[in-house]
Amino acid sequence: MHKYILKRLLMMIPIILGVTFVIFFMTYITPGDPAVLTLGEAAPAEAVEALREEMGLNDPFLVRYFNYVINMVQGDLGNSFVTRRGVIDEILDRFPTTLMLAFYGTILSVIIGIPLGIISATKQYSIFDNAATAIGLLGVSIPNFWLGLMLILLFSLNLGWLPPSGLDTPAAWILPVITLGTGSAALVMRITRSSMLEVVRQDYIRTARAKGQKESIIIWKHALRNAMIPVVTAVGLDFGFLLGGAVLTESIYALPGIGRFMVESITRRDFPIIQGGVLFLAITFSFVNLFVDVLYAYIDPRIKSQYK
Amino acid sequence: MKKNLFLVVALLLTLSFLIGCGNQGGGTVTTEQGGGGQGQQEQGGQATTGGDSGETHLVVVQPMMPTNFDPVLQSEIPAARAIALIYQTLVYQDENMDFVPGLATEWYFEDAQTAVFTLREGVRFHNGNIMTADDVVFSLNRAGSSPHVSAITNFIHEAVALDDHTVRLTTVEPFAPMLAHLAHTATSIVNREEVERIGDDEHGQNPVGTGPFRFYNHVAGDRFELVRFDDFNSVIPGLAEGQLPAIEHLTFRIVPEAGVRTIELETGNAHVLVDVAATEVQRIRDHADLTMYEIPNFAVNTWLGFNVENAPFNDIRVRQAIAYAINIEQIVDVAWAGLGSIARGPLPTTVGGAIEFPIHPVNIERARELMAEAGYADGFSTNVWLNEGNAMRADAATMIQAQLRALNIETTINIYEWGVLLPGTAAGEHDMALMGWTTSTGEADYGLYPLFHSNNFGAAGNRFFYHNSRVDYLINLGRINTDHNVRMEAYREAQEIIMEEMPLIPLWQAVELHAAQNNIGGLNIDGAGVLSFWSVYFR
Amino acid sequence: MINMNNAVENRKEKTHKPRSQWFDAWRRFRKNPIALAGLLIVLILILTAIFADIISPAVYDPHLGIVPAYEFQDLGNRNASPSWEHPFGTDNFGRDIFDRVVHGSRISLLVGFVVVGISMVIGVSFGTIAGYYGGVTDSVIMRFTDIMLAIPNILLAISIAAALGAGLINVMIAVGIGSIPLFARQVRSSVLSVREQEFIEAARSIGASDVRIMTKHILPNCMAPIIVRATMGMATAILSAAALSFIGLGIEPPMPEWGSMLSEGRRFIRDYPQSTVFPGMAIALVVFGLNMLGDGLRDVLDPRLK
Repeated sequence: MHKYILKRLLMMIPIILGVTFVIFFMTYITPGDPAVLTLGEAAPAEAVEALREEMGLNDPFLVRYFNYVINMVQGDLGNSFVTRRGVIDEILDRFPTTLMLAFYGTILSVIIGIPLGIISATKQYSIFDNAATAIGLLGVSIPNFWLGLMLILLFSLNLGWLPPSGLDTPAAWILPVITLGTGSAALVMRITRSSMLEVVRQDYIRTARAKGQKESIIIWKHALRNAMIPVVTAVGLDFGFLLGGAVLTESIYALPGIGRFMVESITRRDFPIIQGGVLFLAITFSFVNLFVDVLYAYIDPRIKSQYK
Repeated sequence: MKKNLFLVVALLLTLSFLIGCGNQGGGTVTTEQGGGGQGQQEQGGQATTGGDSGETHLVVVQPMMPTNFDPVLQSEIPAARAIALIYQTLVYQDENMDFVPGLATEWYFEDAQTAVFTLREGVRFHNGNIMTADDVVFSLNRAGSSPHVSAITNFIHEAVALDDHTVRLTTVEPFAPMLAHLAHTATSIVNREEVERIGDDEHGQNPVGTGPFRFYNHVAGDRFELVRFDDFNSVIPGLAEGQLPAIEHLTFRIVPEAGVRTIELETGNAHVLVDVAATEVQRIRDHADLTMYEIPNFAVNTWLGFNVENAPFNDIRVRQAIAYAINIEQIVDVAWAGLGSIARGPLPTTVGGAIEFPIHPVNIERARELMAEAGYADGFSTNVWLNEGNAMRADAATMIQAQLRALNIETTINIYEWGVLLPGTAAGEHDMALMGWTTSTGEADYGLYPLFHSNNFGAAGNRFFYHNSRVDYLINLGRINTDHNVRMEAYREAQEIIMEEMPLIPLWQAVELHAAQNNIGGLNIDGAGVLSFWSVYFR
Repeated sequence: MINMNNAVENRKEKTHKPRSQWFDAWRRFRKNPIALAGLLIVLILILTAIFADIISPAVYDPHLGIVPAYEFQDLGNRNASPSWEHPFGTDNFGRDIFDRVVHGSRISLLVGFVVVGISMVIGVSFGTIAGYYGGVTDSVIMRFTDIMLAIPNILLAISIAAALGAGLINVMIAVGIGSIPLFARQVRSSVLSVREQEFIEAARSIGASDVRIMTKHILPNCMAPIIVRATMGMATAILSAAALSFIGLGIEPPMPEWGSMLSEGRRFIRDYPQSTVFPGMAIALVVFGLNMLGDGLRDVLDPRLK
């Protein structure tokens, strides 16, 4: 098991390097000169040149990439072109917001999705099942930026119950978490359902039934535990996904998270932030994946034996 | 085994939750500044500019966060508004466009290229230091060599201290608009010792000035806060001498979504809204508890510009034809919801020396004649570039696109982010561009020189690539000659030539759109878009 | 004694082709209400897109000539509420929202097909090669997909769109590239499980070339998950394209793409919600239909649920 973890960690290194190269390359080919952009509509030629020098934009591509990597392994990700603060500081200022948002969103998806999925599976093909599946699919189909706007309209303006933006009060988290968590809840519900369905068909369940076990014990004690395995991994992966994907929710609710910051930085051609931010998210995502895979291996004895 | 595992998982989750919680309220908190400047009030004066409600904490919502609070490290409007609260300039411009003392009490011109300023004595910085000529010299020379504000400050040749309270400023060439540029936030006075001590970059995040408010805190991406500088002893228009602002604490919250900003104002979460979107204006006007502030500014003029180096726009008849085909009144009415006013020339009418031209009439037949004369009876394909994020400009472009169909012109609308638009139009890749210009000095020179002088092709501002030697000469004359009448005449003729040759079609003159609760008094907004929070009080 | 009925039936059956798994699948599909609903919605989408010009024909304007329905501006009738004449109301330029939604279906369909087409062709190719050859090739290809999967999807799409510039084609490329890894992975694991089976050995032993084996033997047996993924992929593509347009990196005016209609109508949401409600519903409905269809296909084609 430990060997497996070590191997995965080692494999992460070339992947992360690959990510930095891809992003570096993309910022290189992206049209738009950050110097002209920073200076705005009145950018005299000498000023542009001076700024380009300062930003290090005149060196050839590989030289820049090489310097970047060398600095990176020493822990220096450079400074933002725009605010001139350290990239790491800018990212760490915003990441906790996204982390909490993803966390609460995942919790919401679990609280709603798992019970609904279980009920749906145990009453397969009933009206409830069809309705729940339909709602589940609807949940992943509604554009969440649209949902966000509608929710603000209803709950903030018309009803006046909840604040429309910012994070001043605990109540302010409610709408963003609902907006973000809806899609995840639907996903968790569907996976729980299909996983339960598969488990319920297994022979050992039939055996338990034949032996006259109470249905509720069968469901709760036998089926659920094993059905949860793929659900746990799906939830873990979804959490990782939410970390990078909350962009639209953050924009609409004015949350100072990292997703929205990345989009702004791309628009402003703030290269150090773009590179540092994607690197950070990729590393985080890879660790979450690793964690989920290890967890999966631990919980599922069949997989675990493969790694012994 | 499983039990242990669950424990570990639960522990990790709790851990990350706690980390998240711990960091959430924080962000970057600056420690309160300066040892000596703090504490009890000395000669700071009383804090009464009205204000009987006792409320002293003002919450403002605005769309964008200043990226940097140093006067010379950026050139954006949100930052300029904050800088006007934290720092001061040598002179200020009042409502009549006259120059009044700021950090300088008197000034005179030694010759066409030299001005001498007498400084106010004993002015305190937020960190307790006293302002001297040394700080002014440092600030002006620094501003003159910074690329970010170069367009405003590159007239500066050198500033020299004649004694502790006198500064001599020499310019590169005779520069008539000098005082207007010295009222611009880019030339704000910083404290040399502070900047040298903590460095430029850090100073951009922890600014120190002489202004009525000092920097307190900012949370990245979310808000920044200023508090009243209780030892403020300088002079600023709108605040009686010896008085302090009624507001003690200013919180600026960043809310990008326009509709949500309005909701924050309506629910009372915010007191002032900066930058009301056009679609929200009527709603606020109709609201019983809210007041709209609609102030003509001398900042933004929006136009449809032609790249006169690209055929067919090098033919004046084509440009005139387009001017006859588009219906400017309709565009302003629909795209800008009737707000502001129709632009009446290359300069906004609020700028000194601006001439008001008649609105170009709509005449499709004449337009078609001109196109035929130029050999384009069958029309052509073209494009118009504009920035993304401005729905009103996008609407205007859509209307223009529809209107140009009458001439068989197929227009592709290219909405680009600034990162593409600015360099692309600088390189002349566009045919037409729907852009605007901020004459942030209120002075005709800054509205004409960057845009129409042939020195400034491309990134420096002349995205029309317009070259007319007579216009060049007139603009130069306006810069060098300090005689008011000579300048006004030169600018008049320049504008007339420009409107005849039509490298652009002026469309819309902006208006500052802000809103506040009814119980907010004393809020003045100047032509540059600066909100005078130092004179604001709760009724 | 042979039962005469059976004999007749047997004879009838014998003259048919042997029932394939596809026919079985179709029979099951017919019984699944969700799958059917999904199929219905998708069919409506396709028909709307094909017949858009008939449902919402072009208009003649004396000044401007023939103008497509989604561009025709009636500035005297802006932001109108739904009525007989304008079933979905009008937008800020007086354009009929129903017409725009109808014509927008073409764009959405195009986006869906092209994006899935790109990512499927490239992803399946890579996945098959990786699964079949294994070893170093597999490792290299999988590392590429890992790299792309490590970058958050929407940021990858935004970066590519920023690099390529705005416009419909670039949006499709940006979204398409992001979907490649998923296809590759899926196909690779299918290939891995099929590869070891005996009929592949058999084919190899009679000298079939690698390409032949991959295309004629392995791939057809992996089609089921590919089809499901393709259907879901279309749904994701339409959502992602709408999201990009919403941010402003997508499609230029006056094209009636649903996401950009949402973005344009956003400022009017309090007073004239029709500009956002109807395009939003259209997106939700189409994506919903595609997801239902995909779900139904998965239920039906998944051998484990038989």
